[in-house]
Amino acid sequence: MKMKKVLSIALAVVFAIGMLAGCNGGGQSELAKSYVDSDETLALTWLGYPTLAGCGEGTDTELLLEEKFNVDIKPLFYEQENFNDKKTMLMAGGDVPDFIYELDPVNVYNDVDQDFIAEVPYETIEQYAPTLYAYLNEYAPAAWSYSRYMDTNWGVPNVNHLNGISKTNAYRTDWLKAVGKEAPETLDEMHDVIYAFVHDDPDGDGKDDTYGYAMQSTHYQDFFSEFFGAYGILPFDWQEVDGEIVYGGLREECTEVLQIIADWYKEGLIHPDFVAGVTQETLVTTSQIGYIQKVSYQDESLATSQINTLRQAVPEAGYTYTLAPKGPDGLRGQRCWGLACHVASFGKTGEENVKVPRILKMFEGLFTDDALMTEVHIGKEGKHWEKTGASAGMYSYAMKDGYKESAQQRLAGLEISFAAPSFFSPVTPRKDLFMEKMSDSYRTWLDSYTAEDAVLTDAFYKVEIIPSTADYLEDLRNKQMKLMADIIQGTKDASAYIPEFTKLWNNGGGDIMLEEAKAQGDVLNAMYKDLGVK
Amino acid sequence: MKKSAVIVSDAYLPKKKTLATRLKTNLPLLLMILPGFLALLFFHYKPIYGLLIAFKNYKFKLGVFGSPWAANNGMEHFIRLFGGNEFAGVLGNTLWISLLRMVFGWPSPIILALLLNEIRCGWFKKLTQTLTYIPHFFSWVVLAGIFRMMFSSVGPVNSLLGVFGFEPIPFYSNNTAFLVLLISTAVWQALGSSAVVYIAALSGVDESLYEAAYIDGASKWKQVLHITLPSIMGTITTVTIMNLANVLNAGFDQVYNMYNYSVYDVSDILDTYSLRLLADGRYEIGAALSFFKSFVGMIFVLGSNWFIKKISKDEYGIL
Amino acid sequence: MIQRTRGEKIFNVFNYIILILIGVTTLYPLLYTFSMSVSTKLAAESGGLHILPTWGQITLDPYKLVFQNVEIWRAYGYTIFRTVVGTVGAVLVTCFYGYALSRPNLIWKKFFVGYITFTMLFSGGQIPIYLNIRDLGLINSVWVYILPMLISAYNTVVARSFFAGIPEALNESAKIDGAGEFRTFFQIIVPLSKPIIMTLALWIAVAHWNAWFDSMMYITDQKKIVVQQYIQRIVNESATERITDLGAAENAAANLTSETVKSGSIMVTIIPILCFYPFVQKFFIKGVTLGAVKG
Repeated sequence: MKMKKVLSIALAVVFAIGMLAGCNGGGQSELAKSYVDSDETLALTWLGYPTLAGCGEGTDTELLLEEKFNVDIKPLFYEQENFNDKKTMLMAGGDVPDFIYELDPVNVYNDVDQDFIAEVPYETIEQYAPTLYAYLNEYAPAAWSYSRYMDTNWGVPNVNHLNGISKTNAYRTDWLKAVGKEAPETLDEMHDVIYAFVHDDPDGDGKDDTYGYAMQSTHYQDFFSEFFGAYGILPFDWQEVDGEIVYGGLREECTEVLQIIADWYKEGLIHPDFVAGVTQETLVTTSQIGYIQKVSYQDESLATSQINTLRQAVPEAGYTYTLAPKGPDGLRGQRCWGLACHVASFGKTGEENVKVPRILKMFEGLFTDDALMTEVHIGKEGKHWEKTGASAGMYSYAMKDGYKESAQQRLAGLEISFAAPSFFSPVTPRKDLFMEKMSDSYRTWLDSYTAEDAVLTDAFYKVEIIPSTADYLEDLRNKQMKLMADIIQGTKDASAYIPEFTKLWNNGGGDIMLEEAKAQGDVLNAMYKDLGVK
Repeated sequence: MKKSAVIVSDAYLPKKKTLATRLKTNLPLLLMILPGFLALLFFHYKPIYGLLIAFKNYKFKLGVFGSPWAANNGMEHFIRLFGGNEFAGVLGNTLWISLLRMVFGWPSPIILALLLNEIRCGWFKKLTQTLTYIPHFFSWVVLAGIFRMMFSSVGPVNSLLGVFGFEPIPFYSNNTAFLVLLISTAVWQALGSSAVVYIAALSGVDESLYEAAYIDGASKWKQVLHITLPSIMGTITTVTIMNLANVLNAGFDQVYNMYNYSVYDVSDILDTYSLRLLADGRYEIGAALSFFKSFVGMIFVLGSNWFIKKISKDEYGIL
Repeated sequence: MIQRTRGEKIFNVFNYIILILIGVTTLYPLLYTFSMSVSTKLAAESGGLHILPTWGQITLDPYKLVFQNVEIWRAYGYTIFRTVVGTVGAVLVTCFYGYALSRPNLIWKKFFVGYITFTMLFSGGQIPIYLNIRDLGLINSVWVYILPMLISAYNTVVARSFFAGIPEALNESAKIDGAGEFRTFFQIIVPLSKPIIMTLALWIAVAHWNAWFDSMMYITDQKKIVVQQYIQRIVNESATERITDLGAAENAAANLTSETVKSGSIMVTIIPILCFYPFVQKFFIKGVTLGAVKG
């Protein structure tokens, strides 16, 4: 695409300038100076992403941003559980903040309905935050759907890199050795391995005390996700199949998948408590299962990482990592939330004309100035952190004493993840900056054990974008899981799935949601046209 | 009144109690009422207009009174609430669970209080009473986790059953078993804390009554029936009527933390159902549900109060 | 010693057995929580009933996490303030209202009863209540912890039923002696009403001690939050699946899991209550007075 090439060159040029600017050392960089458009210190009431609870005014990060952008930030921290309630009550009482963080598209819609937030045309964003704008269009254009309502744009979406990375699973290395098998790549191979784990006494204690497959949580995103993923299905989400929007749970292949799982269950390969919600963590640490779904990177140098905790009980324990198993057509994957994360909106205070451009410039500054972005997240080198260059561990840096605990980080206003937005930086760091902050070993691990084709997401990322979801979907999903559980446990036949679920679907508002889902497809197309993307 | 042949001067007739005199005599009592009255006025009655939200399309900038009425003569949110496919089932579950909680949860604290009352050993009595109170302090998030561990199909309880040769009971996937678990743990959790008020009532009972009854040859059972129970009947009726205000609260915290999709059919209650409806972030439907619950609660309170007054010939009852 | 019949002896034995069983089941969650609160990561994630901590797998890290910042002592200050002042205030207001309702000669009694019972049933909702608190100027004021909780329908009606049980003869004799209502109340009624007063004090004090919702809703000045809200925050932060899961790894330098931190926070909440409980308990549990002379 020609657009892509033009954008890439533009990006490269901006990066080059940014690099030069960053090399300027301390003090306000040339580039950053350009974000300050007047001598007027703007006061900004800042209702940010609810992660830095309780750190109050005057944190290091706040002072840094105030100095760089000539603003006076008044931070508002609300706990995440009550974030939406408190935000609504604050605004209902007449105090509308200048910057408002929106956790879900639904919150954007409600705030628009209540006339609390201001419209932010694409052109405005492009004018004041061109690099960020171009990047979003390139990297995650679907994220714009989160801030789009009634054919207008109402904020700047952000991304979470972790949610766009595929999930990794693991098998106990010592168990594999004990039963003489390799880490499986296909679903059939996985069956043989799990069978051996259950029946061939892999922990060598002579007792029949091992189980097979268990899931990390009772959330629908983990519900036998590898099995469905091996057929390219997300049973609880919308998917685009052959250009059409369908509900994954109505696809015909589901019957085949359920039959496979039911067969596994009959052979005793599924943990009997999968319905009630058995905690995978306890099963892993007590060596009752050898398959770990959705394992996170294990930092071998950290004494309390899961692998080392396990080794206290079983010294020879190890993890062999794998991607999701492949199905008969070579498909594989597990559910991910998708890159789109949240939305940064602007309050309708009457002063948007002055404040929105300044805030957008802050976004652009954060996004393009790597030194600034780094300092906003982990603080100053030497004071808050130091380079480790270690090849173990997750990062290429380590926090210094006095900033190691999250409570201490909170008080300094630091949020040390580069993968997601933060309170003071509603703009997510660029992916390459995020990758740069990783340690070599973590980067290698991601390279080997994650893959793009194993990322399965809802067609709209967040299924709640469909208006009738609140009325129908969760209910249907629960009934669907119950039906599946019955089939898996053998009380019903797999062939009953499609007819029974279709009946539930039709009686439970399914067609209404389907209509809206198809309509959403049109909304997205109109949006891409406005953005000038694809 | 007998008509007197002699006309007596007004000075000898009993003074009619004017409003002014009554206020004067009641002044100290009214002064006692005043702080609570004001507290309720400012903190409860001032915002009571919020009840209207259930009938409006609440636009914050217009305030509750300025907001437009909801569609369908203000009943739009109620229609959405009652009109869902699930509503009938959910309402049924709520009533059924509430009823079971009452049937088992109402006598248990009374019985516990009576049992404790019979203990002569002071330290045992106090220790046990303290222990029974403890579950009240644990949130259902924590308790549900503990129960999930204990009652899982491979957990301690089922293992114990296995030792006695019984089949494991699928507490979390069988509707009946789950209800049994739900109700018994609910009763257990509230047992000690509900009993406190009865224990306090019992502590005010005059010991000499028991002594006199014993001397008269009354058995323990007769003593309980004729002395103990009547002396706490006022407390029992009061607490019962008050608890009926919560008839449609089938214990959201507990259900939410314990249920799963497999036992939805029996454990999906009004509050968990409305939680899904509230996912679109609008307040009116929550207000509608609140209003509905309050209304039904009021009916039960008024009804039970009337009933208790009738059968006790006005001796008991709160209104 | 009063002689017991054989039937009574058997009943006695069964009584003890039942109560012991109940006591054991209610003791278990406390033991579980205590042993989790001092368990290492390994012990916490192992299965088992956790009745007692595993020897050799004990750590105080969860408590260290809770107490490591100065903020907690400030939060304790506010919690203690509200528990003391709030309880005294609420007991007074509630008993006054409840006692007045119990007097047969109270003017407009039905109105006052209805006035308070209505509040038990109907409420204006979260947003109007918030706006009201705001209008009253109580946002970020420490009095928002005290004033809204000064009276509740349930407590008042229960109090009234206790006061109503006190024989009218006592009031009348006091009136003959020339005592006014207030004097009668404080000098005669209150000494006889220790059980209900202490029960109310217990309920209200526990409610204040455990309260966090009002702190979260109406207080934005982080220096004025109560201990429960602070602890909730600590627990949330240590939850292993967090928004930024990379960040959680750094925090795992200590021997913590979300379970052990949660357990530690529960113990921190409960232990003070259990310490004070016996003092309150003796007012509403009758000791052994069999054979004592009663006037």
